[in-house]
Amino acid sequence: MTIFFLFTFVEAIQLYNTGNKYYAENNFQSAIECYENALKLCKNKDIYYNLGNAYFKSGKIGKAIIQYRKAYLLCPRDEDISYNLNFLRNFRPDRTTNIPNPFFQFLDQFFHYFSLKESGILSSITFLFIAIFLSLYLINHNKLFLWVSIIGSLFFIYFLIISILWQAEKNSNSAVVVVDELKAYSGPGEEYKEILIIHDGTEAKIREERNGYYLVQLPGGIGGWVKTDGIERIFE
Amino acid sequence: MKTNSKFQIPNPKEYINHRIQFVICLLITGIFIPFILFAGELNFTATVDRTTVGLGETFTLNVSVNGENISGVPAPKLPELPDFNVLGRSSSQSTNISFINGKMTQQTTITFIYTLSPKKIGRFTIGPCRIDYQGKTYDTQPIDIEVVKGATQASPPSAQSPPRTTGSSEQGIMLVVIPGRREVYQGEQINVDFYLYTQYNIDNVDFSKFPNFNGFWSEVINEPARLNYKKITYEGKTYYAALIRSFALFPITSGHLNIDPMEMVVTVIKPPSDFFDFFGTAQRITIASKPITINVLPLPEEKKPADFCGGVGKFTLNARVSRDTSNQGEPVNLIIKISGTGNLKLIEKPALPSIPNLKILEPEVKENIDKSTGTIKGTKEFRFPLIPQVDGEHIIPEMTISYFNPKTKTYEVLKSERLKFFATGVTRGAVVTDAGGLKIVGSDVRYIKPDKNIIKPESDKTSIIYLFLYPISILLFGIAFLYQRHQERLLKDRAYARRFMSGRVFKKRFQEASDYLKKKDEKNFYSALSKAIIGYLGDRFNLDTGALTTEQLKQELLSKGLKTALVEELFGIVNKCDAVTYSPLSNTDLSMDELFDKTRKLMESL
Repeated sequence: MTIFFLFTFVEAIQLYNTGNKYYAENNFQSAIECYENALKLCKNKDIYYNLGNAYFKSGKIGKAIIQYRKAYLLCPRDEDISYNLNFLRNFRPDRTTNIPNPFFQFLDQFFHYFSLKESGILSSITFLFIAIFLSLYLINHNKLFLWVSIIGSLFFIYFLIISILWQAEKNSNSAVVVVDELKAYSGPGEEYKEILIIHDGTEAKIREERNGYYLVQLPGGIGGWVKTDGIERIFE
Repeated sequence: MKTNSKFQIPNPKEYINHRIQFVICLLITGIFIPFILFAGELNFTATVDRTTVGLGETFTLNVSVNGENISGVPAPKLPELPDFNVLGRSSSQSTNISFINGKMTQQTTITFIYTLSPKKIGRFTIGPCRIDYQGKTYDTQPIDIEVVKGATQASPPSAQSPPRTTGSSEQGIMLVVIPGRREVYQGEQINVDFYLYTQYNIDNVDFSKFPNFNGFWSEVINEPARLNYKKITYEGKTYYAALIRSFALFPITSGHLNIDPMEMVVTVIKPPSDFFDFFGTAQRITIASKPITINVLPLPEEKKPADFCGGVGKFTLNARVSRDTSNQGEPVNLIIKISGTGNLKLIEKPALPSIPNLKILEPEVKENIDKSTGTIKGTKEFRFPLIPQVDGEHIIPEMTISYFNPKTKTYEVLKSERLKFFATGVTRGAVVTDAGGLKIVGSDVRYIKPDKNIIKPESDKTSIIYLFLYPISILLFGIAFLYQRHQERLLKDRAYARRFMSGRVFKKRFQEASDYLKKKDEKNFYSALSKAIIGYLGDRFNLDTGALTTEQLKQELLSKGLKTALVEELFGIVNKCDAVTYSPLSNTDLSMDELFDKTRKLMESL
């Protein structure tokens, strides 16, 4: 079993390196294929990142954003990923024009410092830590142990919030428009009134699915029904 | 302070006044609520699109309900319609909300549309339609419908009453189609005129139907408001000719295209055939033109340029940008204007080259067509929004568009000028310094990650091992908590402490007894054994053994829920031990070893 795993990873490495070669030759279509195949064997943030780049270079902003979001979930501290994600958000036709408030920006970074996996590990370890120190306090009524466990529980809450935020992000039905132009109607069907035109790379939330149409909501609160093939979920 | 005291001691008079005011308020509100709710006056009308209908034709009956703040209006009840067939029904609703002096009024119109078809000829009345809304009944005015024989509009002739189709040149009245040319290029304009030639007086043109020009884009260029007759000679006979309508046609495909016949129903006054028929006779006749064929030549395929836009005619090109500067990534419109004569509507949007650092969106298309002179001319405008992606000067290179000129039979090329605009504030935080120094000229995504020798799979899921840490932690804490409670009770609860220690004390004393057993020290053995049992019982049940007699102790133990047999056996041993201790000569039934084992067993069962 281990040998088999090792073998597939060797193949994934080969595919990844071949993809990099194609990318350097500006053959983005072949690079995309290589990275996609590598991802089938092994999920890795660097593959997602390079795939995002290749999609962007071949003009598919929405697809690129999906890859960066997946990579970001795995490693939020990778500066290249967040830089490129931000770059695309400013680059796409429906740009986020508002400059974020520095306070919220700080909060966002603060609560996205650890990845979902890391925060899960850290919260369970801090929980054990708290339990140990509270137990020590009960046995030996030393106030120091109590203070240590109180500080520990602050950390635990911090990690728990991070975990919950990530989990919410994963389960939020986030989706990205992957076609150049997507028409949103007031109901699930072309016969309804056309109310919005959204473009490649726009991030939205899927609220409902009906007759091959998604009800999507944009960050501003506006939304409409779009065809399912024009928009792709980030986390399946 | 003052208000406080007022609240504490209510003035009875004032209190009653308040009550009365409140009741009056309630009453007034109660009276007016229905008025507010039912303020919407309902307007209920029924109309038909025409009152004269040919047999076999359809007409529509619109029943509309109009009012303020209406909702839940039921479908109206139609009257009995024995002379009509109801072919279909549909409804539409429109709401008009207006704010007047801060008050919102909502005007709603619901229209129920019925498609009816008469069953026979004659005069009929559509009775009142009825609607019940909020307890009131509304009726519409009855409508009279006259059903006539034959078609008043285009409709397939029904088998029972074929309309008189007697239109031919022999009868001295006909429709003539005159195309400007018989042979044109695909996309080239031809004018087609429809004339009415007649030798009689035309009383009335009841109806005319024009062909739908399959394979052409058609535009009406001349439609006289009234027929203007001119005397002409056609095939040796004198006619009065009047232009009915002129069309400009643009063939969309090549080959032999047919123009279908045009039909018309006219009432003519025939000249009197004899002396007594003084005024002549009025007669309704249907006439039709002959179909004609146009030969459409395809555009020459060879030398067809790649940038051919589909235009056929004579055009000019003008391209410009809507603004010279763009702030904070505002789009700049690239306006490509094609003007001239020809098939403007069929011109496709020009393909723009991809321009670095510019995002080009789908264009907005505007057409402005002038057909007053008989040739279609005008402008077609494509507005491409361009979104700058980086700061700095953006250059739109020269563009070429080709069209076909049917006069010279060649493709001609139009060329636009080089355009530019300047964008600022796109790249946030970009530093453009003065002389020398750092200068940011563009931005791009960061480059891909380097090649790897090792790749490790990454998952967003936390391993299940870490989840086990939670129950482990809780267990740990639980143990600590129980231990802490135990310690506390040892200090505070004497009974608990005695009970907790009872086992250990007994073991110690029992050990003592077993030591005496080994030394064969009978007296001390029995005394130690008895002490151990009594002491253990005392500790275990928190009893003061020194102050109690054996009998009292027995009672206490039984009341604590110990089994009688067990207690009896224990005290049997104790009594024997006591007997041996105090009267060493008396003999025992059991030897020391047996007694020792029995005690151990009994204690284990406790």
